[in-house]
Amino acid sequence: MPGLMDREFLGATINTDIRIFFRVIGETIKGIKRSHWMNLVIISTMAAILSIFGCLFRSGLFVSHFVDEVGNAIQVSVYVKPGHDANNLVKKFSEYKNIEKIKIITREEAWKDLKTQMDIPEINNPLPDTIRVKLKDKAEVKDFIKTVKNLNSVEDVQYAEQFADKVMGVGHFINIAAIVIVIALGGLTFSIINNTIHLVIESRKKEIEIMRMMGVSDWYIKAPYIFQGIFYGFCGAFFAVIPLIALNSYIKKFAELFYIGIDANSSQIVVLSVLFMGIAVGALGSIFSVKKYLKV
Amino acid sequence: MIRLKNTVKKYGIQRALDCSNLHIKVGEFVFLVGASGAGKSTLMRLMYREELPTRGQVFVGGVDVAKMHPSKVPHLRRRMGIVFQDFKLLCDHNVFDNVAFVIRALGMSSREIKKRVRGALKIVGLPDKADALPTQLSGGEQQRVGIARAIVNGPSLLIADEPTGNLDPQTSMEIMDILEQVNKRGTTVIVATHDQIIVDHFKKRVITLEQGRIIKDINAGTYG
Repeated sequence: MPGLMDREFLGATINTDIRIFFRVIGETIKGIKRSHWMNLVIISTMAAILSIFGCLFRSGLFVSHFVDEVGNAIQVSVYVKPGHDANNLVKKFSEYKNIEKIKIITREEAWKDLKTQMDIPEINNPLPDTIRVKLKDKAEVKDFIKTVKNLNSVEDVQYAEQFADKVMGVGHFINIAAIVIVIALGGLTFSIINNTIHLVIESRKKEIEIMRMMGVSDWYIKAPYIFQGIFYGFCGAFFAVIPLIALNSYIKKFAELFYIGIDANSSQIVVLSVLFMGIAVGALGSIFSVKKYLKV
Repeated sequence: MIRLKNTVKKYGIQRALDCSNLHIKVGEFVFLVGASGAGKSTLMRLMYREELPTRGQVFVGGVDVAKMHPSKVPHLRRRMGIVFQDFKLLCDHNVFDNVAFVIRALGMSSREIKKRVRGALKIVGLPDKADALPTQLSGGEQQRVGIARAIVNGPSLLIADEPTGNLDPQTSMEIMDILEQVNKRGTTVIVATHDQIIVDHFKKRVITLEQGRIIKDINAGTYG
């Protein structure tokens, strides 16, 4: 019998908790209704901020991907001085830890290849032996070129340096801009939510006072305001996804232009980050307001 | 039910209450009387732990509320009902919702809420006013709603701070009749008032406060 009673008690407690949860949701909806036009202001501001964040984040990810893909296609070409053995140089390069791939193209092969591509008159082969080197980390390319250029057996070194540098520069700029804008606009959103929740708390002061006196739990009193902040964050994130979809299709077209694949998981990562950002800023803004203005 | 031991409450250097010993038993009806600033409200606020004593102990139902963890305060207040001088009704909610909204927050089922609210409105004599807004009621009726809200959760203690302060003599008497009915059902009732006619009429225990000290405590007493 005691076991049965325990189960009944537990069942009743769970039912009560479920009812309280739904009533808290009801109170949240009431709070949102009471905020009238402020809802529109907050949600549109959050949507604008989150879409800026999302677009910058998405672009930043794509630029990194683009740099990777294009960088992969770019190799360092080392031209060997006539009379020197390319194999000796390859042995030296192998000591370099950052090398991913290395290939010797003999002057004969290169000449043959060139002749298939261009209509060249019958002259002596002027090409040197070439070593194509692909590095694991593109950031080390400059160091590698500098070292290699000083070698006696090297005639010249070529790399599409400027192009790679520019793309990487754009990537860095986007990342820094994203951080600055997110901090500035995140602070603005936080403050808007904080003030709105403050207004809602002020408008319900009497109700809160009575609930406190009658023994309503802190959670029941505070939770609707926190849920309201989360609601704003969620709605803002939802609308921020629309420009992200447009940006994604633009990125897809751009990637096709360069014959590179689109970074598969980036869209999902960005959407999830925008959602997380929205909910986190919404919740934190309202928690801060509840802590400051709602003394239970 | 309530016991105060060497309880002192100061606001800055101002001594609002200095009570060496007070005991209110279960089921009693007690008037707290005294001029404004005598310490009546402070004593009540200590009982429902809206204030903490500067020194001493305040036992409610055997628990020292001064040492109670803040998270336990709602549990203490659920065993009490509080009636305010200014009624504290929500003007945009009808009578039913005014009485129901607190027990709704406690997670009671809709059926139980309906049953309890109807019961409480019947006790205070407003069974037909459930749909009315507070603005459509007289002062006396509004205070009845306040009492219904205070008793709807079946409290063992009812604290009323100047419940007739804003009402005419006849309505005040009706309100006191209701509080007496509540007391007869087993609830301990403590009423702070400076209405002499009421205190003299009901002949209950009267505790007189002056400058924060209990100067008189008489069973079946009168004012002054």
